[in-house]
Amino acid sequence: MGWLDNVLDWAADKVQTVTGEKERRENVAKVKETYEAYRWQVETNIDSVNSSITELNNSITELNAFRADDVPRNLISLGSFLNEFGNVKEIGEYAEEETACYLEIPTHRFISIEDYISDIDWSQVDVFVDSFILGPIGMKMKTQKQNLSIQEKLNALKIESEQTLFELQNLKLSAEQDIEIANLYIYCVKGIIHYIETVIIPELDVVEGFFQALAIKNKVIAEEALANIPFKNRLSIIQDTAYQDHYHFVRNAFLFYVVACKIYNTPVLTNLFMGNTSEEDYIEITQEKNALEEQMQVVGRYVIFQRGGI
Amino acid sequence: MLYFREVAFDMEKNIEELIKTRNAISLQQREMFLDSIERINMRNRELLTNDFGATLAQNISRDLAGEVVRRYFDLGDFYITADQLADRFLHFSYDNDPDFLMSNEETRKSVYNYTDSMNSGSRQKILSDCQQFQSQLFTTNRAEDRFDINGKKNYRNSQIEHIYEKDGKLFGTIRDELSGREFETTTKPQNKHDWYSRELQADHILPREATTYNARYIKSSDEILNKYREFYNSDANMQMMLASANGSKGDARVCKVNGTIKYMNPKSKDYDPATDITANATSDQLVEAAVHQWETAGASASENMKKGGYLDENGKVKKEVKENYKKQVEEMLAARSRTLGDLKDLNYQNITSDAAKAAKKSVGKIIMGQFIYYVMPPVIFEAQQIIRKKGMSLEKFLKELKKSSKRVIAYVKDKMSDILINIVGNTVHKFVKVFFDIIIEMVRTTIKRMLKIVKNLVLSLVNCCKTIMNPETSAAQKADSITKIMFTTINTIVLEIIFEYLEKQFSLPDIIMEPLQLIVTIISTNAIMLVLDKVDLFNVRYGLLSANIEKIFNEENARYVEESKKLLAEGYQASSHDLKLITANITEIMESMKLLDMQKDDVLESLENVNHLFSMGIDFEEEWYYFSGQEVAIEA
Repeated sequence: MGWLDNVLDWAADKVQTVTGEKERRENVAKVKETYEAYRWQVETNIDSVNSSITELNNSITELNAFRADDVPRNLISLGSFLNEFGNVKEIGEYAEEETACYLEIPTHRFISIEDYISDIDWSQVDVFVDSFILGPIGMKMKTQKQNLSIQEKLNALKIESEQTLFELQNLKLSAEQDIEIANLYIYCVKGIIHYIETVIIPELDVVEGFFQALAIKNKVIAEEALANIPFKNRLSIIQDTAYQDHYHFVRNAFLFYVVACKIYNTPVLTNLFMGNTSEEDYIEITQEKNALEEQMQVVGRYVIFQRGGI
Repeated sequence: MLYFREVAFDMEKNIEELIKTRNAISLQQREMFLDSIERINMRNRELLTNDFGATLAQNISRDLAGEVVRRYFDLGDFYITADQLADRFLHFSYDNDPDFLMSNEETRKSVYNYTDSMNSGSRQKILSDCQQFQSQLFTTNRAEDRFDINGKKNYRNSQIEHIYEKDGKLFGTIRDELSGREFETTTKPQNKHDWYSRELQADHILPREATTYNARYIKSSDEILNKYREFYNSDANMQMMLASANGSKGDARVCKVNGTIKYMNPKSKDYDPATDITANATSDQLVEAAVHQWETAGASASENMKKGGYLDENGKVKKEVKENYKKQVEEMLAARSRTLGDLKDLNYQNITSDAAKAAKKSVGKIIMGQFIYYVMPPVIFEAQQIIRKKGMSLEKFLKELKKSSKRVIAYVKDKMSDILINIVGNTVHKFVKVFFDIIIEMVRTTIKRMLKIVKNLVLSLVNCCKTIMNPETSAAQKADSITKIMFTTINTIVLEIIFEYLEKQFSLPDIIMEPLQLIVTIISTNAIMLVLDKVDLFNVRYGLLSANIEKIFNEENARYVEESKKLLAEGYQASSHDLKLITANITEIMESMKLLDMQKDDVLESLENVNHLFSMGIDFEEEWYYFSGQEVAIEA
């Protein structure tokens, strides 16, 4: 019976070619294949982006630890020194730098594609029943309509896959740049705090001693009693005098103090990465978002994937 | 202080700017993606839009315009072209009515100028009818024909000039009327009044045997016919020509074979007297008939004609010979029109009878032509509107078309009231309505029958063929064409049967049957073609559609991928360059800080740069003011 089977297979193949069923099956196989490749690429790329995010988050964690411990310790000494010379603002409340969020596998999108595949992957029974009800021409027209729809859907999946990969590659490169930026910031923060700790703070006593000596000197000249002298210093009186060096020291120390406070009470990196540094930016982003939504609505009007009972 | 001023860098670019630019590029790339999808969908939508109504209207208009103009609007008689009519059918709406028939005199003139009255249908019909009634004028034996013998002799004698007498004999000269050469001649020995020439002969300009007359329109009395015979043997139809040229020319005839003018000898096997138009030929045609004979003559005659000044070295007839011949012919034709064709010679009864028939036929044609001209545009317009509605089936289509008849009838009645002014009362309305109903009924019946055949026979046959066939595109396209041809043929056959039945059943006159058949054939054939196109037996349309969808996708996708890659690559390159610069700047700032002398140097510039690079938002001036109370305290 081998030859009969061969003939039947040949005839079945020809009939399926006529009705478009063969092409439909090929198209379904292509959709499955494209989906599998898409899924694999998305998963692999997300893993890669997440490994960079882990590295970034490690840097941020390190930064936060440094900011929380080393920065206030030095600021307190410097602040009390500066308080002798003018109005010093509070250090402010500590604000933590936020770690970046990890990317998630787009499970919902995958489920929706899998549902679509199961819709178009007609069983043999479906095909038989439809052929019986619709007849050969009706079946052919239904299958052709379905094939065109699958063809469009397949193309949409291909272009979506391209775009997702572009976006993931973009995210990977952005994450790598963010790591560099975070490390640059850590380098700056540590450099500034280290300077305060090793250069400024050891000098504070000397400078303060100078100003106390100056105050005593003034009392002696004024022939006042040298007991209970209040050491409230006025910077302006030594500006452009022989004591200009001390004026410089205090001013520089103050500038370091201001920067260090900012490092402590503001999540500078988070603001940079989140892009919410100003109201103007917020407006700009909102405008872009609105434009994008409008465009998506326009695109939605032209979408024709819904044909073919899908 | 100087040291800090050397730490100079690009103050414009900071990390915030860098991230913003990066995000903008990302957004721009996403817009490219959305644009590509939009373009793909729009182009696909254009592909998939199948305007059934527009296709039907276009096909019907084109076919109908061609047929109507061919059958009813003869360009020679009427003032309308096929293009104008197609335009009217296709672009008609009740608000936009390009009515060329009613347009101004200028339009009529311009169309009239295009026409060639010689080729007009009516003229051709008249010529064709006249040809049928042509009879031979000379029926007796030539040797016994006294007109022939006397005619030539008298003409020759009349042409002698410079006569003188010598040794009792008369001498003179005779001139070849075609070459212009003169020859010495003398009288015959037996008769002093009868001249003789070895070189030249008298010849009938219009060959005696080719002379015919219209037996239906000219009275056949001996008196009248002899007058005709006498004319053709008179000086008016004679010329002196070289004897060898006369011999070679023989009996040259002008024939019209299947519309083409041919020159031949009646002894030729291809000669058919029914095609002989010599009697009514133009002067050019008569000259060309002789030229053809001379240029194809034998070697000896050809040599003589060269010597006699007829042919040039290449054996072609000389220009002056042709001109002289033409002059002779024209003079003969002028004389004929002066001499023959008296009104009293004509058979009035036959002429008026035929003219009346032709006129009657023309009137019918003109009315029906105009009828179609006014009926079809609104019918096509209505069909187009109806067929565009959703869920339209053939049955619904015909039902809706019938409903629209009130509008169509009102329009036609209004337009045709001037033409059918003599038809009284409600007759026009009835006529238009009946005509319209018949069209709808015929289309319905024909399509039903056709589809039945399609369903039962052809589809299964074609499907079998398709299964066996090698599914290559070119083969499929061929098969598609063959099927369509097959249906057109079947449709015509079915229609013929239906119309024959109708004609017998209702005895409809020709005047109605012909346009009916025309319209129904065109509408039903087009409707069936569209049904076939929709079924797309050989997947030709589907295949093209699918290939085009793929083509559009590939084009747009390639463009999108290429542009995206370029944009992102340029973006990455620019941002990593900026980041390198920023890194270098920060390194320099931090290194310089290590060398800072707190009592001599100013740290402001360095810290201000750090503040700027990381967008920390510090206003050092304000901070200092608050701290020290000094308004202008900082010198950068």
